Amino acid sequence: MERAAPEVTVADLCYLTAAELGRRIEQRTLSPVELVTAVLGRIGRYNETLHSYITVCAEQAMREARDAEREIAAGRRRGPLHGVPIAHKDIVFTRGVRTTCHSRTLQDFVPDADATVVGRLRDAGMILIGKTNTSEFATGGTDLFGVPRNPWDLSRHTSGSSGGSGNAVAAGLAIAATGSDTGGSIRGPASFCGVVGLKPTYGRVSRHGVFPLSWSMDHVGPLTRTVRDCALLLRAMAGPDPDDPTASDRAVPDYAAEIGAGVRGLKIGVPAQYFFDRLEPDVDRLVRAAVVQFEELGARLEPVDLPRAPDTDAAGRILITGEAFGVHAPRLRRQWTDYGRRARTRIAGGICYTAAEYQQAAQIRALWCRDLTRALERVDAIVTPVMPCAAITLEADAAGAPPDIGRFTIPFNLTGHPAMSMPCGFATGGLPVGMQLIAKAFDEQMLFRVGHAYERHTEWHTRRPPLEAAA
Amino acid sequence: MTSFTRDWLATEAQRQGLSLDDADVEAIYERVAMTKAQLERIRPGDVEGLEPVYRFVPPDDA
Repeated sequence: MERAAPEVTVADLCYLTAAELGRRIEQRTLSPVELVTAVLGRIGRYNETLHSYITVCAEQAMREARDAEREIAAGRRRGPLHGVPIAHKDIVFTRGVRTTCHSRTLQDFVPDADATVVGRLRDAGMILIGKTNTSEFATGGTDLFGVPRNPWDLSRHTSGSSGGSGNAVAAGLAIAATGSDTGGSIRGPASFCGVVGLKPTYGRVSRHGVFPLSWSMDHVGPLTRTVRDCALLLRAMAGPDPDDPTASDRAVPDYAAEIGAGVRGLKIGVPAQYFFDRLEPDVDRLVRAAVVQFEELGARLEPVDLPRAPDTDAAGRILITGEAFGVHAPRLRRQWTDYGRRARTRIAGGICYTAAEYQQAAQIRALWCRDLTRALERVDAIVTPVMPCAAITLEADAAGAPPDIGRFTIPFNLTGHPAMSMPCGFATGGLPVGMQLIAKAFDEQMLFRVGHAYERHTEWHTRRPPLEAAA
Repeated sequence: MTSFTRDWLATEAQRQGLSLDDADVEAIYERVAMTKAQLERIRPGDVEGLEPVYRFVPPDDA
């Protein structure tokens, strides 16, 4: 008797990787319409609980899915992401689709042009499925459209500010998403939600059309469920842009080409100071276990000396606050009470720092950048925790999360080096924990190579949050 | 550092056209005071090597 093929549920489909979905679409065993229908169904089922999306583009997504199906059938497949849905953080401008920045001041704003990164992903054939929740202007609260909840434990926070992107990807409400990262806003949600999140090198991805917070610290990058997907997304997102003078002209490599090269013979740096201080015991245990795993896979571990790392947190916060006030000053003067308290007080802190303090912060940044660049001349990548703890409770966040909770991520916004968060295990109680990999500027390939080697020998990325049970 | 007080903050905000209430003042003050104190403790001592590689030579000395 012939055995029936196992039934592929909607959830199974929504949890496939972008790479696998792209393959099935290419082989015509899956239609983009079927895929978009499945993802929209899951959004319909869980978005009210998770608050992943501020705007869902159901009709537009179905239209784009039918277009993709026709194009592919006509032999005009654009590449590995054609027909795969993408969610954009709601500070990323989308032509004709409301872009609120989770702020009362922009709640009806509809851009008349796409951000460069939106256009690039559209050119790659990706289908816009919706706009994900963010804290107000990527720095404040989430009063207007609800707090994104952590799918691993609904009483927990996702971290911000790309929390909607993080929880949507983790819960199968998105296949992949974009985020922005000024002090850890891609890597924090990736760590708390158990997905992969990349802050690329400063200049690797255009920021044109992404509402700015801090011109010298803002980065745009992908959140995905696997390292390979992250590599595919970055290739589509990166490149020069005449509309963004900070975007690099460097050629964009095929990041997935050598992803399977392994770590044998590579040198992995482990910081001797700061990055393993004041950690929750589970975070310490899991990140150290990942370090041991690299050694077992053939990498050589090297201690790296970064004595100035503790200086970076205050310096980073001063630079972000000063630059954010520069962006928001006119709007704050006009619409102070339309901003939420958290956003307005964080941004208005920019009036308090003197030029001498800003200069001192810039000097700390220069010294730290020199130290890190030198350290990375001796090793291929550095491993640290992403966050000092697993996801905090919603109550703890509402009461004001510790201001230094991003102390392991902000150092790499200061220097612009690429840094990626990926799952390295689960804490007691079932919350995911992320490790951070850092490489030389524009060497995202190394992050993907190291991260993929780890992923191939672990199963953390295959686990799903217990949402079905909770529903 | 010593001149940063809640009164200074409230006055400066008003001068800059920002309508802070008492809770705003408190929230900003707490965060900024902590960051300023942190910065004060970490003044870098070794700044050599951060200068640009060129030197400005006044025309009369050239």
